[in-house]
Amino acid sequence: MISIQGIVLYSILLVLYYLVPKQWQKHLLLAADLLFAFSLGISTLVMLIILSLIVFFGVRGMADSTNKKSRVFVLVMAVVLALFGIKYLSFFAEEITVFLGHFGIVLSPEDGIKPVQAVGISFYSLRLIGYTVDVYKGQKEERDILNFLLFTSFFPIFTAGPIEKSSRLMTEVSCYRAFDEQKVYRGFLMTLYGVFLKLVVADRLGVLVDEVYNDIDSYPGALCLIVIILYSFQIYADFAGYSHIAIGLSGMLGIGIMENFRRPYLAVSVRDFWRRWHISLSEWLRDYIYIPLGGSRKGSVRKELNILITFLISGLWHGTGLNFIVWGGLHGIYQVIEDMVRSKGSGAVRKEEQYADGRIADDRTGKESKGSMYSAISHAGRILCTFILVTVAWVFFRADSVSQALTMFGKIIEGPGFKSLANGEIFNLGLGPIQIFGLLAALVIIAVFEVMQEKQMITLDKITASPRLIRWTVSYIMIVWIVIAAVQLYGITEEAAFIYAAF
Amino acid sequence: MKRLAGRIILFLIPLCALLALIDIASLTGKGDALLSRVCMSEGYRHVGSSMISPAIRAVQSESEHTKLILGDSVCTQVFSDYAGENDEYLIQPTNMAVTVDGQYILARLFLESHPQAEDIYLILLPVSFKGRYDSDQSYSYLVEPFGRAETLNYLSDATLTGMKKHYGSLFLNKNVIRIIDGSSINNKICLYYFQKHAKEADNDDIISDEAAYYLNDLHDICREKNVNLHLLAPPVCDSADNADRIERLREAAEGTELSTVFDEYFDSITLYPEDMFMDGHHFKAEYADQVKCSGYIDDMQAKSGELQGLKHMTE
Repeated sequence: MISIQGIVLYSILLVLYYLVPKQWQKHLLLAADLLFAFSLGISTLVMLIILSLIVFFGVRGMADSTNKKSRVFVLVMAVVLALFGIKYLSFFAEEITVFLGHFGIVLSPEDGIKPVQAVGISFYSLRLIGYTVDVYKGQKEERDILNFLLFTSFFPIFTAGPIEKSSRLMTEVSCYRAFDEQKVYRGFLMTLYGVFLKLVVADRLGVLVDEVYNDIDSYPGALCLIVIILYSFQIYADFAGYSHIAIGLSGMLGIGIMENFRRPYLAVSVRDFWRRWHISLSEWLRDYIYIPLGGSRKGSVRKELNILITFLISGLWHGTGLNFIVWGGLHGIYQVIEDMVRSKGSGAVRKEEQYADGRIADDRTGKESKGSMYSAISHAGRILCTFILVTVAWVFFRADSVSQALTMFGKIIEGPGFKSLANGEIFNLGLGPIQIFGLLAALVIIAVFEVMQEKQMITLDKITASPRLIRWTVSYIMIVWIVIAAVQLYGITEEAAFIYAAF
Repeated sequence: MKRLAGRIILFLIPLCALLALIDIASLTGKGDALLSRVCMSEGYRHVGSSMISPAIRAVQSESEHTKLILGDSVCTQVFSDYAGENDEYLIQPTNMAVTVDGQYILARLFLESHPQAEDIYLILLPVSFKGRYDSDQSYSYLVEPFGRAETLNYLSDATLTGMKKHYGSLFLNKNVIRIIDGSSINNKICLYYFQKHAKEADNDDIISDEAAYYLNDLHDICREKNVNLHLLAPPVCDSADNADRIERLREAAEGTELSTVFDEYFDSITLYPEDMFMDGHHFKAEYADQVKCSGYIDDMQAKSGELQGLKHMTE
């Protein structure tokens, strides 16, 4: 996605998008969407079109039918089967080949079961399922195939979300957009920030993290501990970076995309974390898994069970390995425990979450809020605890297997080996002192920026509305930093794909 | 729209100027030292030219030498210690990445500046014949140094056209090459970009078309000038891979124009045990000291009957 060719092609699209006659804007956008899907492989494009058509005509048929329940079931199952078929075929390819061998069907490695490459299917299939269920529940079905394809194939969100709701995205992509300079500049800044997160932070952290995860036994516990923490920042910078780019690119086209990350590491509980991390997936899981399972309506035991099931499914969606299921399970267990603590506590945690979430106005004054040292320490303590819990779970997410994750923990327990840190071993992980200090500087800037955003002291809108000198200076600094970061790792490591594009 | 276009241009001018300034700074010694550390590109300045340019200068300089030794990195390993000790032999071995194209230019330059030339020794491993101008590293070791010295025009029109097509005419321009070669950042970007698009990955040639062409052409030129061209092998690792390569090379040369060029080559091959080599081609450090290299030269002299009078430790 981040390449010279990509920038050139997008710039051409942007200019044409605002220059073509009103009635051609949608067609142009769809052509760009399909071209993008094609660039990811012909099978990606074919799969997208086939699934889109099945759902489009299936939902139209369902809307006209008297037996909606069975039709919605068949449609959702069709998409689920396609999704899991493609995702898990590679996982079971070897087993299937062996199984067929028992019946005398011997497949050579060349003719063996080969997984179909269908990039983005994890994301657009969820949008398709959501659309089908929404229509079943009463939302009006889309009758225009062009609008529908725009919804399923919209290129900025194609490979890694956000998983937009059909009602919102279809309206957004199907309207004519007149040129709005403010929106374009806002989108540009958002994109720049996303690229900064990805290239300056995530890819650099990835060098350190990969080095240790590829050879855990060679590194002391202290370094393993640092790398575990760094991975939390890597995955955030990587995925939030992608989401910011997607929102920015859409924004420049005048198309509003939902926020997918809202400063997740400032969450005061794991539940709060999931309101801030991959928001679109959390909402999807809530609306199409948790609530249909009964949500909290069927008693507290059933509610906790539903949370566990929802997060296990989330783990399964992320990957085929047992480690992803453990990761999902851990998040489920965290929330069950939080619920138990919350039900016995005074409700302070819940209130804290609501303040943080902005769902209730922060009307604390004087002693109650700013002046209360205890409150501040308690707030910071909750943020820290949540971060630790989430970071522990990330180890299973990053590791190749559960045993590798346990090895990582084992190394930390075995002995920290702080001496090696004093010897500067961290500078032998593929980045020199200058790069590591640059990385730390970037992390500090991001942390300060996020805290200021949380406190509404600074927002993208404020930067967009600031004097040109400030806006441009911010842009120049980011661009130069990005260029330097790109040169640093150019050729030394393989071009790092977005982590979430693999799911 | 015009206002917006103007504003975009206004935004881009300082940005381009800033990036250009950084790039210009990287062309200076101090600037390059600092920026190469920041950009993790230390060691990328003058990658190939630091080795090849002195060789170009040496073969171009008029001298009393009558014999020239060219070759790849194994030849360098064996002969480089004796470069200063010989009045008769000009010893300028380089690297496989120079390709036979580059060795050809060096030989041509030597012939032009040394009318008294009698022998040219091209000492190459069997693997060194497969390189082309579009191989991995060839931009750094062939295009940059020879482009800087404005000697690429010794190559055939077909090769130059192919180069222009592969790299782009701009990247063969002397001044552009100076800008790339003189900055670690620029060189790193270009090096990896060209490496990424190099054709070596799928090049299973035993001897490239270019190598065959330039060997034949050099042979003809030498014959015209009454100079003997000797194609010899440096010490070769006794591995299955090399045995196969030698066999295929023999088959490729047999019955073609190349058979004359390769006349002495196969008889000159001396195989040494695999455990003496670090990567199947180069000697381990303990087998590459001056005394041992002198022994290898003795072996080569005995086997080929060539390189007589070459001063080394046993002389």
